[in-house]
Amino acid sequence: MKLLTNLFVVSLLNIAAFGAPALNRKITFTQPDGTQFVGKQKGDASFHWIESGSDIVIYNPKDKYYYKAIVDKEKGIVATTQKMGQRGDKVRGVNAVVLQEADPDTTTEQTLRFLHKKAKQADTPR
Amino acid sequence: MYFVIKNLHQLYRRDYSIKSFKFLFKGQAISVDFTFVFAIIKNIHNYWGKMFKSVSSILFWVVLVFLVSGCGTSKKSSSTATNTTTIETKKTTESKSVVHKILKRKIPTLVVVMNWNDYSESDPSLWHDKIFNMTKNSVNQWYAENTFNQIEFIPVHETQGNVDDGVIMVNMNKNHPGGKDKREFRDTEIRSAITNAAVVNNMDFAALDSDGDGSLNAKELQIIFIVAGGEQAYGDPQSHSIWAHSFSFDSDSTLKVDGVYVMRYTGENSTSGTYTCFGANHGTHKATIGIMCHELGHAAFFLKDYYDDGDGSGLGWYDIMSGGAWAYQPSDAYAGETPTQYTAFNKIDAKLDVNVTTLSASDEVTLGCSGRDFVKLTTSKSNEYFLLECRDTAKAHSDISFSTADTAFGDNTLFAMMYHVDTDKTDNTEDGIQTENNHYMVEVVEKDSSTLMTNTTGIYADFSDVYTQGDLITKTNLYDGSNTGYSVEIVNADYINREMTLKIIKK
Repeated sequence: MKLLTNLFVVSLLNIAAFGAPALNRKITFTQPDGTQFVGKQKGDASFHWIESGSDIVIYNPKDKYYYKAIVDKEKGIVATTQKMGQRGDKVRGVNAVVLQEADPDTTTEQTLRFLHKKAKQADTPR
Repeated sequence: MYFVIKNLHQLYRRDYSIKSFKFLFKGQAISVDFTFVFAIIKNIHNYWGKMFKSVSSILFWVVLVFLVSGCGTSKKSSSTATNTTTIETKKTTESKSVVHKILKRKIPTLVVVMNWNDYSESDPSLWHDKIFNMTKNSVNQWYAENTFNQIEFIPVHETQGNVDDGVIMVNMNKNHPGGKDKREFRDTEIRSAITNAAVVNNMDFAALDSDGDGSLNAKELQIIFIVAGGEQAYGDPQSHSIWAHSFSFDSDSTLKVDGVYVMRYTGENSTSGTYTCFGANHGTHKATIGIMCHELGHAAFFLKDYYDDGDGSGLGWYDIMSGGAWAYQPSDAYAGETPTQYTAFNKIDAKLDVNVTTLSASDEVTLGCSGRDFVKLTTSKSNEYFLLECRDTAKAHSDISFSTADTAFGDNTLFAMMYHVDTDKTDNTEDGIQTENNHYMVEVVEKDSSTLMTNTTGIYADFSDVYTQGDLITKTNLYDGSNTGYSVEIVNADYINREMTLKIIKK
């Protein structure tokens, strides 16, 4: 799990400062095993995610599956072990869109915005 | 005089290798760009043959005399770069100033198609046309319209395949590395592609270093990497896609080709090198031009992004540096085929040839609606001002796309837009709701109650955002709530002359 988390955090940061905006439309994503789910991409090359219903979703380049995620202001978008479009492997007690309890006034939307801005600012040539 | 005669002789003897010549006229160094003349003459020679040789001779001398005589009548400063000519004039009155800059630039451009073992592109002419072909829906066609023919990306001299088409195909000898972050992609795949023998052996990078500083900047060379496979921004699977972006190598980069640094960030826009990178396919069709033009806005002109990050629309379809990169007119098959224009803000930021009338008092102004005439209303705060422009949905390859988002725009409508600019902000990634401390750098001042900034349902342009004849714009408060005293009345929309008259009232 920790390895998975680190993998995602690394892949979401340190990307180009300027990227194309995501095309705003519903997309059917297909998992390697053929299962599908529908979502919208958000963000850009610096920081992006998928919104599927109330779920935040990110991609694991290692096994090429899309996973549900939780949003954390400090850790970024953190993958759970629950693959999209599949049953089971649910992380007990974790709602994918509930934020850390320490900051109840912060919404998922605000945190994603914060993370995106942080990633974009960090993502300039040095 | 010797050089004049030598150059003329070369040109007339069909030696097209020269593109410009320099001489002294009335004590000033004058550089005349011969690309245009050269293209006409070459065309005549190639296609009309001997039958019209006498016509071509006459045309040659007429154009030459026109160019030389024109040099003496304009106040002109000649650049050392052979592809650049700048003319600048400025008129100032008590209440307003008009700044008029003309910048003509041709930017040498290399297109590198990166082919993988599992995904590859086979037709270099497709990419040549998509970038350079002025007669097709291309990057150059969009830039010609939206920069008033001031900017053109020209193919570099290269010897692979169709010589001088500007496209070099590179076999990466591995499978698509999908899912890599862009810095990692840069340091492995981009580095590998630009140092590939197919590139190094077919092009002379050192010859492009026109300022001789040992490093190629963004105006000396643009490099476009077309990555075979998909485009993540379109929604293609990350397993074989890349997210379109613009980037540079870090300032400590040692990457040189032919002895000159390439794509190196220096800390200064004027000396930094850049590159752009795109997926070759959007789903099952070839990439459309929208995000290519968008990324070149970053790479060539250092413009910023003005989209929001998911929960607002930023400048929406009103600017190609926002969602306008994906705009399409109703007859298009795919998103991004007919991207919208730069807003007034980005045309000014890109230092394009535009007319800006700066006002601080009441006045009446008639603006052309070709996207070139703007009004700037200054305020008591140096960082906050308003920009006004007139837009025209009858423009062929840009704002006609608004009718896709909202049919009320139609295909023959003149409308005004106003933007609230705060230069203390750095971008449009603030919260979509505009407050004193939390607002965009460039905001569309919407006619109706604000919906564009916070809309998440995909409505990127709405006719109720914009102003037409008879409207009175009163949303001119500063972000701290203080009243600027401005109001703007749309007095007249002249559909014959495609212009709009605005009455600015300052109390």
